[in-house]
Amino acid sequence: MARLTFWEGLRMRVVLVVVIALVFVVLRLPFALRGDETLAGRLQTFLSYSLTAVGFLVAVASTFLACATLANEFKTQTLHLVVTKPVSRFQILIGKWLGVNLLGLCMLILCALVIYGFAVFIKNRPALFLRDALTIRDVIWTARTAASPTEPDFLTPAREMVKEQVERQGRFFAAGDQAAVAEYVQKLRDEWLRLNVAEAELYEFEGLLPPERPDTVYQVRYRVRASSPPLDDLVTLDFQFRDPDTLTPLGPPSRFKMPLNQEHQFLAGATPMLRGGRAALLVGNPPVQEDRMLGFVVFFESRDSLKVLYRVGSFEMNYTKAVLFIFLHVAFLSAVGVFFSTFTSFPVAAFCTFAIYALSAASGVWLEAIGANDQYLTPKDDPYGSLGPFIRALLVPLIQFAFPDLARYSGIRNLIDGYYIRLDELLWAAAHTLGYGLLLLVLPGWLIFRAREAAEVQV
Amino acid sequence: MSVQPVISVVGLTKVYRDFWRRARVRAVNNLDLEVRPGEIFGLLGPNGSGKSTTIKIILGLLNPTRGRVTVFGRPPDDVRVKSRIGYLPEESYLYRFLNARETLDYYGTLFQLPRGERRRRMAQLLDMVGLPRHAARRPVGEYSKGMARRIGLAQALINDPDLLILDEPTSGLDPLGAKLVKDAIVRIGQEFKKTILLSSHLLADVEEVCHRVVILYGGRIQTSGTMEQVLARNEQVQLTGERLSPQTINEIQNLVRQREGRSLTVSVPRDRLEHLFLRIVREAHERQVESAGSGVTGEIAAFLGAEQQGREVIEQLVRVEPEPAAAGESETPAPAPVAEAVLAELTAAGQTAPRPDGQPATTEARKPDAARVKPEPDRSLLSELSGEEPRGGGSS
Ligand SMILES: Nc1ncnc2c1ncn2[C@@H]1O[C@H](COP(=O)(O)OP(=O)(O)OP(=O)(O)O)[C@@H](O)[C@H]1O
Ligand SMILES: [Mg+2]
Repeated sequence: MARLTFWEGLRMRVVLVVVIALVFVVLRLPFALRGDETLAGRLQTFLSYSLTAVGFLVAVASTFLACATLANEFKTQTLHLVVTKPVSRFQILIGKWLGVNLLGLCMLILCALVIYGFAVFIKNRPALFLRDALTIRDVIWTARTAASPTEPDFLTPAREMVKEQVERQGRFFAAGDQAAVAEYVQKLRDEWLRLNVAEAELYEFEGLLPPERPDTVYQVRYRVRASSPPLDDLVTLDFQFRDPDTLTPLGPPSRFKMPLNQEHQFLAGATPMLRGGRAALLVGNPPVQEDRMLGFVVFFESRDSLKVLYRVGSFEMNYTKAVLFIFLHVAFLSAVGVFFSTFTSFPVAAFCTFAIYALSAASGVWLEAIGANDQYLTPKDDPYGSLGPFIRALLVPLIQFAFPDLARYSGIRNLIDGYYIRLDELLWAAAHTLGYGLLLLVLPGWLIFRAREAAEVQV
Repeated sequence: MSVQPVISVVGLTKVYRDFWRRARVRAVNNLDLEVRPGEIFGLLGPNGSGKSTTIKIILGLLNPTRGRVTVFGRPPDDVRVKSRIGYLPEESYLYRFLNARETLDYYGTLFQLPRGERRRRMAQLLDMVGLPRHAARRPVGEYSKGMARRIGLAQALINDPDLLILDEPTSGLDPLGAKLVKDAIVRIGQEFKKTILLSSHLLADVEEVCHRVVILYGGRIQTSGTMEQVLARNEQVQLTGERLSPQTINEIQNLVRQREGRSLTVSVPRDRLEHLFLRIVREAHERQVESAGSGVTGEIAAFLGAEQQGREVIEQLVRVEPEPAAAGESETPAPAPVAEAVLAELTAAGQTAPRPDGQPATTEARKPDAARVKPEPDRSLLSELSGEEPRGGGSS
């Protein structure tokens, strides 16, 4: 069954056209794209553009094929013969899906190999600046993790504070208790991110991935602001990795005097900083003159303003994962397509599947729009007014389940920035897309297909 | 005899509904029928009388509105049942982009036949339905209707089915093909004891091959019974032979007048168009005229009923034993020569069988009738068996 669908797909000229388009796009791109004239920029643009294009085209081709396959079997009555052979409807259904996926996978692998070949070609072109070559080596052609400090639990103390104030002092919060809690959380967070003069804050990192090699070099990247900046805009900061359990220093502190509001990074050496997936970084704000407590209060804008980076995998591994993400999109769409084609004609099925595709790709925006990302909404700024919590309680799980966030389940951004694509993210995306697609296919899809008369005629 | 019927249909009703579930057509109305093992059963009726609908329900392609259908004692959608059925649908049903070999291979795969076995059967079937090798490599979508039909027949036989369901098997076929199909049906039914259900509105086809028929009209059974029962009302007698001298005819006329008090109508039948056609095709074939279409070899695929082709079966056939189930009603036309044909096929490995010696001389005398494209033993025998004499039309 699967094999047949595969051949059927190959014979559908659409797929052929797609493949030709792919090859053309891919062949043309590395020479056409200049990016920002650096080799690194070119590599990034090429990877991003070609992978996005390939992902989209293969997804569209698979959708068409998936929608055509069963619907056309009904229409051309070829299903009559298949159904009278000793194969169950379930096998037919799954076979169709597998066939479409097989074809999608073949196209993807082909394209991925070609793209990879060209990426290597670009990478190995002579770079004009040393920095360019280094960027490619350390920032793009790698798979680094970029960990931000884990935020301590602010919610519990904030709640307690509010409770205490309400109970003890009988205070009344005009905007509601929830808003007051949110305010306190923000206050605590600000405190956590702020470095007062001659003070140090310990930032803990949790759930860190093991480095690729034990002697991996750690890099710290930071950006600070100051409420009243010094005249020269330069601030001095001390950094020191500590053992997260005993807090004993791991190596000498490093001191940097760097401009404000800019990203800086430094190599923190190759000493193993991780203890069971945890690390602790002490950041100090020394006074301008040692004896006098004079200096500038600085703060990180958010926890993302402080990062620890280190290599945890190879570019090739990352690339494979990015391609797998694309394949997940394809598998999801083909499951949806086959599902629709069990009960509608090809054009309708294709339309519905593309609708799901569009909604899924935008589901993040959609959730944002209904206010699912805001923790504390007052009826005033709730898009649904006072009904908001109820509507969201219904809508949010529905959207999150029924429309896999395809924009988030994508590895391309991470890939071109050299960020390691986490395996658990990939697995979660796989569970959501494949699991949901198969569930759709196996439960309602199979039930509909089984109940439907194979010789039914639609006029 | 209480043999379990192969197909049993009780009180079957099918109402076609439209999108809003409103009844539109009552295609089959309270139909009962029973097909016994080894029987060739004909479903007759004018266009739109519900033949195809009945067949589709028996195959599980449609769900009955009311009534009960069992095939081999099980519901029709049972996968185990399906592996014993071969089905030839009424119209387009093949993947247009596969060629003949791929088509047969694909359906063979669905029956989980091993690769070698598929190859073997495929070659035999393609020979049997008369598709030349170069045609077998073109996609089925390019085939003419009759060629596609031949592939359809080959496809229905690939699993060596116990029950063969053919929906209008001869439609779209040239006389050669129709003849081939009819011969094949008769042989498959009689030699290999397969049960065959076929539908047709071409009465001559049904008459030549079926043991029992049902005539449908408006979804109801109008008449049913064995061929003899159904056709018993025929009051005419037909004598056929080679051309006689006028004196002989006169004497016979006188004799009949004396004995029966009636006179005879005498006519010399023209060469029938069918015979002419067959002869022309045969001659062209012998002159090796190139054709992109189909030819015919007249061989039956050897794998069919292979497991039954043991010695005992052949001996049984030689001992002129009619089939157990159909023993009561159905006439089994001269099984002995058939057995000889099987023997000849077995001993001479089927394909390029040299003409066995014990060939009845009568075949030679029947020149205009014989649809012999190649002088194969079984071919001539079969043309004899399946009855060239038209019972209804022509001369009487
Ligand atoms: N899918 C369908 N929807 C509605 N009515 C149908 C459908 N299929 C068949 N019919 C109707 O059912 C009746 C029987 O049709 P069926 O195809 O069984 O006839 P048939 O005996 O096979 O005819 P033919 O000799 O032309 O093949 C016809 O009146 C036909 O119009
Ligand atoms: Mg019909």
